[in-house]
Amino acid sequence: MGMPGLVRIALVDDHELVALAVRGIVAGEPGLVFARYEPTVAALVARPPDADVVVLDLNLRDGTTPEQNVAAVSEWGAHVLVLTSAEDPYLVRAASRTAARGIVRKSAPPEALREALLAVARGDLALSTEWASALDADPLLAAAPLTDREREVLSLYASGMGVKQVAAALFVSENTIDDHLRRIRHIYQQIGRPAATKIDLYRRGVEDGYLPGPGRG
Amino acid sequence: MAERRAEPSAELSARRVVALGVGVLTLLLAILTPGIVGRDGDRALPPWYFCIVVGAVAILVGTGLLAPWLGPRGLRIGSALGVAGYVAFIGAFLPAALPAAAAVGRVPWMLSVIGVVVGAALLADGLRLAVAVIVLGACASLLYRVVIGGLDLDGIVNDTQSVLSAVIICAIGAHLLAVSRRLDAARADASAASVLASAERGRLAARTRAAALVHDEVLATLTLAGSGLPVPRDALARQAAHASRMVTDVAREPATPASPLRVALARAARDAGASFRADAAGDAEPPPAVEEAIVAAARQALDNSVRHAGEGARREVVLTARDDRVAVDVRDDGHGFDLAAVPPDRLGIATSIVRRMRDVPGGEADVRSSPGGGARVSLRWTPPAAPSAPAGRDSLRGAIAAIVVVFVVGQGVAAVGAALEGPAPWVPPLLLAGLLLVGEVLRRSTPRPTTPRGVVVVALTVAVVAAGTAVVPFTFGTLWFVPTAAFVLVALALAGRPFLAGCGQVVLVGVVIAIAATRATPLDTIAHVVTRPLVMAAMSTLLVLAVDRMRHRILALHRRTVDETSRRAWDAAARAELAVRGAALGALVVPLLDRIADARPLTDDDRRACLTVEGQLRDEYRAGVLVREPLTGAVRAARERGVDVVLLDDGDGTAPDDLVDEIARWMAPLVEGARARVVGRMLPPGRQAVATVVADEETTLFRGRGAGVSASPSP
Repeated sequence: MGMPGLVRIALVDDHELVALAVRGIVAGEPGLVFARYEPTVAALVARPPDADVVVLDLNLRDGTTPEQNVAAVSEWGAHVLVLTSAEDPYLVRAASRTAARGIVRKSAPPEALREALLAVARGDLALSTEWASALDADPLLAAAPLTDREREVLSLYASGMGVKQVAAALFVSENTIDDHLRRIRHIYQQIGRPAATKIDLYRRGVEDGYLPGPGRG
Repeated sequence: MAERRAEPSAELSARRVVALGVGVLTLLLAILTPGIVGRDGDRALPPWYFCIVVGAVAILVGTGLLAPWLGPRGLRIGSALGVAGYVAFIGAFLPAALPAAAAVGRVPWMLSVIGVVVGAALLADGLRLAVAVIVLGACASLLYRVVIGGLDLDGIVNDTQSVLSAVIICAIGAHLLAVSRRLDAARADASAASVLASAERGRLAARTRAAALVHDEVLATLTLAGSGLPVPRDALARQAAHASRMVTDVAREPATPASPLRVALARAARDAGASFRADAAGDAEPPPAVEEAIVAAARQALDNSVRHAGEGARREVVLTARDDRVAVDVRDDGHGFDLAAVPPDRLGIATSIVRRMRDVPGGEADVRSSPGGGARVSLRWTPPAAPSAPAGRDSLRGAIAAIVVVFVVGQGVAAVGAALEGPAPWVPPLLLAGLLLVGEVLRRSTPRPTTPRGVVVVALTVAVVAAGTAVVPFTFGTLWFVPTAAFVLVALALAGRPFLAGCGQVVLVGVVIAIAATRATPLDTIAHVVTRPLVMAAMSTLLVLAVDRMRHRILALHRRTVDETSRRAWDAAARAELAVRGAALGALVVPLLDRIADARPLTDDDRRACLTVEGQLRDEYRAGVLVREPLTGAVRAARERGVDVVLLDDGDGTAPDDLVDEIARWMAPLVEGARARVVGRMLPPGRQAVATVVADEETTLFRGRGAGVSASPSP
């Protein structure tokens, strides 16, 4: 950490405007400080570590993949909060297999982004409805070693409930729900990802909304 | 000319194998039977006749031994010369033997060896010549036996079995060549399909990627504009202008992206100062080889026109693509020429254009011109019919029927001859009946005999032979049924059990030799009896194995073609959708982006419009079947109130339409009632509920039609 108590935030995004927006949010939080904006991960990690949390656009146009970028930033020594502009489950799943600590859609209200930033800065996870929904509907997860209770937690979380509501519905503590979500995330990261070119291409097509993916009629 | 195009390799290899087999067998026969048949009578034949024999043998052996280095034409010529030598060998026998008929005594055995030459005939000119050789050999042999001598049991048995061998070799050889051609066709299809698929994938991937960036740009702009975050107004306007340009560019692109063919033709036309017009209603994209041929032919036609149409002639290239067909017309209004007056050796057009187009499957070209009437070259391509599935052994069925007929008639004659010869007239018909019975067992176990059934066939065959060998006198003629039994085992090999059949042949020959040994039979008689079974067994087994191997490879290649073709169909569908959506996207977002780009301060209405459109785009990704009234109306209204609405469709698309309608009607008021945040979700199949709505803190489940609705989730 840099100055005691202050969490340094950097941003990697194609759009400088997003940097301005994120900077505005960070400026309103006493515990956070804006470190740097870079258009690519390569430019970010070219300099010595100067950020604790990196907000990373999932879909950079320099030809890099989310997997490469998250891995590079993690190695550089920062936590990753992923920003996605499209709510495509394939992209969200790709991000969920990485070491990213959280996934937020760009279209979420500014408060959602602020909360996610604070959570990751604290060392917590910033999981979202979209994250849970993408995992919950992933056929790959059907064969994963999840308990019935974990599947239930995931399903409720995916319906849009918060941790508090899920805890209330299942008559357990919020900590228990957090533990479940952490384990679900961990197990999902372990699932081998299919990486054939054809599948990547298909994912691309669906990501674009041009191909029928799960969830499109 | 034909040699310039490399003949497909599988067919060439098969031809070389057949030629080599013919050469080796001829050599073996020539060594094993010194002179013609090594009997005294042959010395009465004139020396010039021996020259013919040696010449014919030398040609067949030479072609066979040189086969690995010969091209298709060399093989054909060598084989044709070999067949000609055989015809001379057969035809010259009568004039050679007649003056000394008494001294010659009987027709030499080698004269009746037809099977070997049949292979050469297949290579020289195909099935028809092979059948002609068989008929010629059979008739000549019968004639000479009548005229010169040798029309006895040995002669009849030998000739009928020789014809049968020839028919079998002819059938398997023709089948081998046909399968090898299919293998080549499958190989060509597979490689064309794979080239095409990878080219298309590259194009599509690039375009899809470009469209993804556009979406990204648009969504980011709308989100920022709608969010009210402190972003500099001029920077936002610049980004909006940029996004608007990108969308317009994508929407403007033609529904079918410029194909390499179109680009290449346009370039060729430009180079020749011709105008270019494309009327591409369909999505025809010929394989690269065809594309190349069309472009080359068009260039040649333009070249001709530039040189011969005269000053000031106008030229035009028109590309028409409908469904899967492609037509290219190259026209000019110049001098024209009289096609009939162009000397054939100077027909650059005919060789370069027409030939080039006809060389590609499905290609066609014609040239029309008259003096003073301009010239018009039409190039056309229609995709050749899809490769037929490999016919397997079905194509052998006709050949097998022919073999069965020749077998029953020929061996019937041999059995009758043997019965007349004595000493026990009832034995030969019984043996024939036994072998026909085995054949019937075999016929009933189509398409492929099981191992136990195959063993039964082998055992029965050997039993019949053992029984016959034990009781009849030991001569070539009286042992007619030994080769006959070997033919039954050849049929077993053809039916798909070559190994079992090969083992059976070995056992059969072993049994015959063992029995013969106990009866002090002369060695040469034993050799005469077992030679044919051994040769036939080895040849049929090898050929059947070769055919089987090729068929497996054909199947694998066909699977690959189907795979590539389906990928291609997927790509085409993706591309079509891409084009349609590009236009729709433009209509939806461009006015709004232009409004943001004009730099006037954004009103609250503008912001709400941005969020509404952004949400609408998002729903297109993620809300799937839920995008329908009255839900969409409720969602729009809620977003305009500033509510964060998320619609998720995690169903598998199998929910019936009326059920989804009901869900949309159920969800709409819940969305309308939301204050800050609402998530509506279709659940994956197999869950307790079909859909859920979480509005602010309130969760509601939709459990299914008539099952009612519950206000809290129950575990």
